[in-house]
Amino acid sequence: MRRYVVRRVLLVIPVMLGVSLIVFLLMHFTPGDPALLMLGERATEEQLQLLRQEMGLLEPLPVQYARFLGAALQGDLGRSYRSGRPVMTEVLSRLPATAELAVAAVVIAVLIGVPVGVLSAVKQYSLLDNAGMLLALLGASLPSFWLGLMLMLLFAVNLGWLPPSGRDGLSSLVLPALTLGAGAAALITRMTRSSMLEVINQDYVRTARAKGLPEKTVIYSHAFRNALLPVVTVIGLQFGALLGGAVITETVFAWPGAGRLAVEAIRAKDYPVVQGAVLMLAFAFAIVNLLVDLLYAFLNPRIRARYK
Amino acid sequence: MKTQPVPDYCPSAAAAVAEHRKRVSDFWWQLRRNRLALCGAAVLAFFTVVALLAPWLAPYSPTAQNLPASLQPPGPAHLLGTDEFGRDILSRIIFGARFSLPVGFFSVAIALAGGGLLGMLAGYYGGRLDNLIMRVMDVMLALPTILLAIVIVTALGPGLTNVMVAVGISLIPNFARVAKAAVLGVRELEYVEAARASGAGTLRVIFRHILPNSLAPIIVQGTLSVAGAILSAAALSFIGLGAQPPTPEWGSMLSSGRAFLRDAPHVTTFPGLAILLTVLALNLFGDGLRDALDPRLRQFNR
Repeated sequence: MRRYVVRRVLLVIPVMLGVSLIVFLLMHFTPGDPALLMLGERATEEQLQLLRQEMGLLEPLPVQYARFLGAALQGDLGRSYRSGRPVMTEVLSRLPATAELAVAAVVIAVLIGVPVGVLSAVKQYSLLDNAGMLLALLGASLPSFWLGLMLMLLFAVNLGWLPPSGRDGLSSLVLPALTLGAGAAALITRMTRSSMLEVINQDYVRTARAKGLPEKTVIYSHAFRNALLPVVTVIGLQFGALLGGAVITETVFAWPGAGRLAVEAIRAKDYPVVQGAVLMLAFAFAIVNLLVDLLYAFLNPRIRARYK
Repeated sequence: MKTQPVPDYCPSAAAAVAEHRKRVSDFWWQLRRNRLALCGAAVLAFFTVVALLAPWLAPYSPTAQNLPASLQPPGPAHLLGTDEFGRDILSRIIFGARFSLPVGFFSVAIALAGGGLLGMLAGYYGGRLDNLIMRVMDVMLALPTILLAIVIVTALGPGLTNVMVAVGISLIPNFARVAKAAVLGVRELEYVEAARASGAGTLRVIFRHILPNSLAPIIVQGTLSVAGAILSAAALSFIGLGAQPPTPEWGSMLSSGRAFLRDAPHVTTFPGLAILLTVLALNLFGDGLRDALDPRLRQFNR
């Protein structure tokens, strides 16, 4: 088990190196001269050249990347063109809001997806099952930004129950979390249902029934526990995907997270901030995926055995 | 399994053809029986016709402004109302089908071509090439899809074509994985070995013998991905990176309608419904295809 954990943790390093290279290159080839962006149109050519030299923009590309990487490892992601503040500070001040939103969305998705999925499977082909699957299909097909606006229209504008935007206490979290969690809820519902159906047809469930155990015990302590494994994986993968989806939801609800920071920075051509925000979100994504894999290995005796 | 005993090592051509015909007819039978999938196909056909006939179907020009008639609610003159410039929303949605549908299909075509080729190469050759390709794919997967698309489109500059390319590239790893798995599934089968033994070149083996026999999972992935691609492209337009005004693209229509959510909710409601219907139809059709093509999955997903 320890060997697996070490291997899996070490795997994060090359992946993050690759991600940093992709993001660095893409930002490097983004049109626009950083020096010009910082100094404005009125700067003279000499001033521009001086700044380019100072920023290391005249060095060969590999040197620039090495320098960027070295600084990033020490927690320095450069400075914002717009505010002049360190990118790390800006992103770190926004990450908690994104984490809060993503966690709330996952909780909502699990609270909806797991029970509906289990009920759907237990009552396969019933009205309830059909309704649940229809909802799941809708959830997977809804454009999140549109769902967000419609929820906002209903609950904030028309009914006035919840605040339409901003981050101010628990009530302001409800609509963004629902919006972000809807797609994940749909996937978790379908995964739970199919996983439960698979398990219900297994011999040990039939044995449990044959022993005369009450149906409740059969379903919850025999079937459900064994059906959980793939569900846990999907939940984890969805949690990561939500970090990406947060970019859109945060824009809809003016939620002050790292995703919205990235979108604002793109509009302002503040590329160091875009780069920093994307890298930190990718890092969070990598850590979540790592934890999911470790949890999966912990829950799955087959993987545990392989790395004894 | 078979009605008459056919030696394993030398299946007669007639038996093989009959088996193939049976599989194809079974596929159509399965698909036709699936009413939801048919509904999806019908909705898709409807939107395709709408896109093709847009100039004849739309009651107004999609871009002509008529400021005195701005933000009118749905009524007899404008069935779905007008936007902030007095443009007819129904006409804009009709013309919008000319953007959203192709964007979805072309981005998946890019992903299919790129990912399919990479995946097949990795699966066919294995070894170091496989390792290299799949590690690059892992890195691309380490960024959430939408985030990767955002970074790519930032580098390329805003615009619908660039969104198409960005969404396409961001989907490449998914297709590479499916294609690789599909190739691995048939690589060692006898007919591939036979083709190789008879002197067929690598490309010929891949395109004539491996590709046709590993298409099913790739087609399913493709159909379902068009749905996701349309959502991603609309999302990018929504945050201002895609179609630029006055293009009647559904995502950007929604985005500009946001400002009038309180007083004229129809401006945001209807383009969103159009996206929802299209994506729903694609998902239904894709699910139906998967069930018909892959009997193993049928029992769990309807």
